[in-house]
Amino acid sequence: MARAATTSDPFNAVGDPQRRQIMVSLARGEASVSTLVGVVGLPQPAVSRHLAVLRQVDLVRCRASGRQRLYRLNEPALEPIHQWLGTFAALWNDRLDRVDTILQEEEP
Amino acid sequence: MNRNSSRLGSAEVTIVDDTSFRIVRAFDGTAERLWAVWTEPAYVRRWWPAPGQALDECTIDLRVGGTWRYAIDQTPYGPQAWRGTFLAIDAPRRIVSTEVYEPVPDAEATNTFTLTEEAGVTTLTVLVTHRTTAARDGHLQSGMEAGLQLALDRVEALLGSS
Repeated sequence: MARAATTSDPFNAVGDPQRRQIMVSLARGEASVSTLVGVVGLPQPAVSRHLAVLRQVDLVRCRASGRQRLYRLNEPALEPIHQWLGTFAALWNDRLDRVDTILQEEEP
Repeated sequence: MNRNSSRLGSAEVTIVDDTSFRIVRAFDGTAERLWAVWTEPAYVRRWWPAPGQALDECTIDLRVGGTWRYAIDQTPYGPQAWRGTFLAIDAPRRIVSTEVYEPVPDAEATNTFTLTEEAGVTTLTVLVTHRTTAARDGHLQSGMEAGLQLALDRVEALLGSS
């Protein structure tokens, strides 16, 4: 499947496991680069590079707070992914699909 | 074997009121069998954790006043566990239990699990009621985090196959 460059496609931007880890961390709330460094265990320049990619596709936004910049997940930009898969509903759909599979495989 | 395929992905999560949300899903099968899959640890271990995860504890003492606990020792966020107490049991139709996500011990919810069977189709409803709107939203948000992880894992799988 042909895909646009990482810099313009949110699906590709989240294709990197470390960027996904950063996004999942930001789903819990706003964070500074140093907080993210602690959470994802990567050097600060690597975290900054990932944040730059995520900002280019508008998945992450930031604001100044004193001398820090705080990063947050930009939920609306996740909409294509949300619409495709759902989130909380996806979790439960997966569980209940597994329940369904168990029921069906044991029916005569 | 594919009788159920049209039902895959058909669970609906809806906000009921300021403190509640509801999960609804229909299954081809009897209430008795669905009750067993929902309440017997050997089954719960197969459907509750996400693929690639396993429950390190799955305890279900199915009697009024009995407790349940599901735990995963290692996740990207540290150990995760959920527990509660059974308040009412009416096999194979209804269970009322409390639920606490242990990292947020103050946000105890009450879950009402209901099965209604008609012509071989059993509809499962789980009504989750929190004490506050903030606690309800926190629950949905924590699920969202797991759901997001799941969604992103699927994106990875898709990208990996392209």
